[in-house]
Amino acid sequence: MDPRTRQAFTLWTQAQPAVSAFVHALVGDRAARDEVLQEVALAILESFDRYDASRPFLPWALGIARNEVANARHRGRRFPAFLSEAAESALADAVATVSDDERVRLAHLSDCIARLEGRPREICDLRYRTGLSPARIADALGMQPNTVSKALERVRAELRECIERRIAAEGAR
Amino acid sequence: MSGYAPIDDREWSRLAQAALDHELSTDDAARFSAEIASNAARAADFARLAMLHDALEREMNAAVAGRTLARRTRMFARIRRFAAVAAAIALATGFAWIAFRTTPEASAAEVVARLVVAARSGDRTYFVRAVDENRRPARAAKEPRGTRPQPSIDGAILYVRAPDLYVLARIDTAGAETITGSDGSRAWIVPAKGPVRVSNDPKRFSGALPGSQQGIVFIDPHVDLAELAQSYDLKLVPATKDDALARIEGTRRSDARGGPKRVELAYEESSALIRSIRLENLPQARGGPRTVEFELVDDAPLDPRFFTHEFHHDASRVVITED
Repeated sequence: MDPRTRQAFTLWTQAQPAVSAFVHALVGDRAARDEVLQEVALAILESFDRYDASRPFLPWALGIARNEVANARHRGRRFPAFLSEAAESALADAVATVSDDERVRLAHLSDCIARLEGRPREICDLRYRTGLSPARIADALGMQPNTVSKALERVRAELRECIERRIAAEGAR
Repeated sequence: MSGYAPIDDREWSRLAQAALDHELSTDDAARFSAEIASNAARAADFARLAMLHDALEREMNAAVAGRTLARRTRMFARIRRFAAVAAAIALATGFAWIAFRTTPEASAAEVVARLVVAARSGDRTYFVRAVDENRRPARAAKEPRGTRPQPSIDGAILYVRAPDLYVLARIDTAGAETITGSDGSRAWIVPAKGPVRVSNDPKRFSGALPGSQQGIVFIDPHVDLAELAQSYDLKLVPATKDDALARIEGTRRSDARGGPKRVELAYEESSALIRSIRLENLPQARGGPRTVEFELVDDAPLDPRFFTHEFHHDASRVVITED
């Protein structure tokens, strides 16, 4: 393997969590995310000669990800664009900006998930493991969709707070 | 100017959550887009939320159940007999591995790239077998008189969570278990007897890891697979009707330093999940087996605390922190 390809591997490995999150936000479900993500990985390998190594890799990779999402839409995948072009661009910039910090924070996520119990845990399981939409979770649990959405909002907020607490505790050591 | 009224924090939170779940109405999507495009702080907030959302989905699909030490120990006893069956069951249960396309035209580099990405997700449990064509297996080797029996890599179980968390459980000829590991920032060793030792050097105690004597340690899939691509001539062997697993065969380049002469990875083409790793003709200057095989026996998630030393010993054990 030539040095450029090795470099591509290394940079892609570092960028992949942020690109995955960006694609996931745009396409909505994990199957579509994974499909697009593999196209992004291939596109990066194929076009890496055009990457200017003097510039940050992640924004370049996110640009490719935007193109691949657009290509997938053109191929007929059903994930309609809900963000304007300007918003997609702003989100890509934001992901590139926060990515490093978030990767550090998210190292605490599994510990925080383990603390979820009861109904919040159940809703989290149904949403993220089973892949049900809030409306389908509401059907399954006999709840109002709005209640499920609120519960998911609280779960995510709790997880973020838990992560913050752990980081603060780590800093205090 | 976006043409939309300012959005307060509460409304912003509602829109951001709905955006994650792709449940925005057309009007809300337009308001949300306008906010993201015009407000960098809100864009950053949604970026953080999106990263949490994506990581949460991956973690939840890795976290089916915690694994206790007792279960792990029981598994150790069963593992030889049922390794192949366990691997088949684990695959059949269909954990959410990233599905990768492997076409006949795919180059070895592309396949390795897919394996790298797939290796990022989830926990792996490998059964380790030392194969020595010139000597008896390490487990059966007789210890010199007067020395304590050394735990063998043969029959060990290696637990790995990317990027750099591992636990290696070895049993010596007397049946005592020694467990070494790293939680990513601290390395530790839990011997069968005596104090538990903890070090802030993550590489401390890593000498027991398969291949560490030879400079190749299959702990971090990203690094190790990248190393594979860098130092080995790779050949793809597609799956056949008789062999459902595709393979990558690597022969060490003449200019590469250290490492086994030959490496073979067997993987699922559809999932890019590595099922087995075989390292052949390992350098013998520092001892160790000539050939080591790793067989994936489980891909079920481990307890979140599994990679800490506390998980593997009683609270009453003395713990010595080095450095």
